[in-house]
Amino acid sequence: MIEGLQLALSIDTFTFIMLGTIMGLMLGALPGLDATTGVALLLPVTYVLAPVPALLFFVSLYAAGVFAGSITAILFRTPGSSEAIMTAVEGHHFTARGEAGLALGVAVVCSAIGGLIATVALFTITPWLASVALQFGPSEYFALGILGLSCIAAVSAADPLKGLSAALIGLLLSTVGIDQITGAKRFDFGVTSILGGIPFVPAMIGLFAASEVYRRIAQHDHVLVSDTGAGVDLKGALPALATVVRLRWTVLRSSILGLFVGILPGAGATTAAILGYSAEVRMSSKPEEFGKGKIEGVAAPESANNAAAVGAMIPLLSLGIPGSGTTAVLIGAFLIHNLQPGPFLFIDNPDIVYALFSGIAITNLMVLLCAIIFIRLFARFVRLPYPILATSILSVCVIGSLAFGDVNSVAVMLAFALLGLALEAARYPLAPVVLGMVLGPIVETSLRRALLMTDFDVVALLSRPITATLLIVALLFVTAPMAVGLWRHLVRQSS
Amino acid sequence: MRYRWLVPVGLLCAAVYLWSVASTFREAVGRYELIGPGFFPKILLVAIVVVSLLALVREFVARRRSAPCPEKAAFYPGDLAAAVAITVAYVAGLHAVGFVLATLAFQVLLLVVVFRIRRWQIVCGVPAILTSVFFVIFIGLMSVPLPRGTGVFHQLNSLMY
Repeated sequence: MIEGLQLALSIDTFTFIMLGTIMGLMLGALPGLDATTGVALLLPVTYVLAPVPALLFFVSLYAAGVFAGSITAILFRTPGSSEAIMTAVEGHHFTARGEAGLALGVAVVCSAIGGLIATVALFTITPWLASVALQFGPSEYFALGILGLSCIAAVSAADPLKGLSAALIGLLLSTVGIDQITGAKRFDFGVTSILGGIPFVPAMIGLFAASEVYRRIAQHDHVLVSDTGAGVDLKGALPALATVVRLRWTVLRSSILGLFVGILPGAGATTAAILGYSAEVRMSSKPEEFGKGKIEGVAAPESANNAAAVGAMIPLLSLGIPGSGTTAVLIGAFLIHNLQPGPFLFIDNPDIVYALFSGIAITNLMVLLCAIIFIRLFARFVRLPYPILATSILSVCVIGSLAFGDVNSVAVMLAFALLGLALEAARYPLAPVVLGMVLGPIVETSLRRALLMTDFDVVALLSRPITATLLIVALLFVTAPMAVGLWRHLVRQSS
Repeated sequence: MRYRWLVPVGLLCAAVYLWSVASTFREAVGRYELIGPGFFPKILLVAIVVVSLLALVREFVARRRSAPCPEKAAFYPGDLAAAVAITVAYVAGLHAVGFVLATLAFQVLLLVVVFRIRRWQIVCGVPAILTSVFFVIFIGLMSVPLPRGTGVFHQLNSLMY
């Protein structure tokens, strides 16, 4: 272990961790470019490097990229990466109130803490956690998806019917493309580029960033930050210790949840951010304040997504199974250096494994340091006159969507911008649409696979211990707010 | 008040139409028959119909009780239409004249037509700076294959990237 730490702290490795962090922050903050793209593009560059610096370069790029999406999400409601989607929902309200500094500071600190908590788990409970994750079958994934969706009741407490409608729109949109089980085409209307499903990032860019610009244009609302401007000046980009201490349980809960979701193959940091946010909404005594700029709504997804990014390394290193898209690409980096991720990596190359563990911890601290510089850089843009900002944002929306595919991706971005505009005009929340789109494939595919495996025996499907527990928790989450409301109403009447 | 009916009615109509589309999905056979490609979408469409009907009933009841309508924000449809049209033209222009010229034109049009900016320093300077920055990041650093246009524009742009 000490040998590994020494390897991670050597000058050349440290330099590449720093380079990876800077690259990750740049890529993550720009819509259309993300950590996965960066890792894929830079894979050949590391041929000439030693394994540890090369692997830690990619790991730091990944961790920094996951965090960086939140910078533009908070400042411009433009999530730089899909992992920052819930941060955009909650965080931009702080910019509008002139408190962007608080939201950005909390985001970076919670990201770093989330990553560090997951790193501790990486060192200590890797084999145990990996074995628990392996017990997750289709029915458990289905229940996990339902648990995530159950937060709609809390997120849209003001009007549950509208929240449910928005979630159903998202779920329906997730069914577009080739059916994963039978291979049949669904709702493609002859457009071949959506056969793989609606491209998620262009859709999110449209739904949040472009729709916001169009709304402001339509309403002649050209003031991005409230008149006070407080909080945009980031002299103290780090939040007060008291704020971090107040958020300790939020960060701990979300980090543990994110870590576990990260370990599940295919779930990824975006799902972790959404589940972390939804769990926080349900745990809160004031769920109605979420979606309007509540600091817990920034801390939870940020801790969860960074913990998930680190968590995804656990099945990769211990079992050779990628936990996310980026770790799937990372396998290429291992293979380039003649390393095979899996149990034998711990036996044949323990120094490399522990160097990676130590490097991940250093990366999280590096993100904390470098992010503050990036936050200051991006925060300057908020001071620009809105016409210039809007022109930049719309250009990035188009170029970013184009970078993800072809002209059809831009068409998707525009369609979602108009959908977002229409939904917001009719006061429908946008967060449930995202929840539906992300969790839809998990819920649908897992439900159908589970039904097949149990010979359509619904009772057998629902009575598996983990499934039943998760579904009961989801049911409680939906019914508890109603029961509490009824209880308070009765108490008020009796008094 | 009429506007509040629009989304549930739209959803209802879309659900009915999409049900007919879902009925044309390729039939699954054998064990997959019960959970074919239309299984999940049809569950969702039924749910959308139910939720939309509930929303309409609620609106109807609210109207009878003459519940107050939420305050309307100022709305300038002309500017919105212009912004969307300029974006669509930009996307079309990208393939015709390439990334650099299309981006410059898009930004100039947006500033002049939508935001009514007349200071030439801003109208010329901002698009030039922004396009250069995007060029360096997306083409120079990340080698994103952005369009070069067709014909003479393709030849011209090929000299740059």
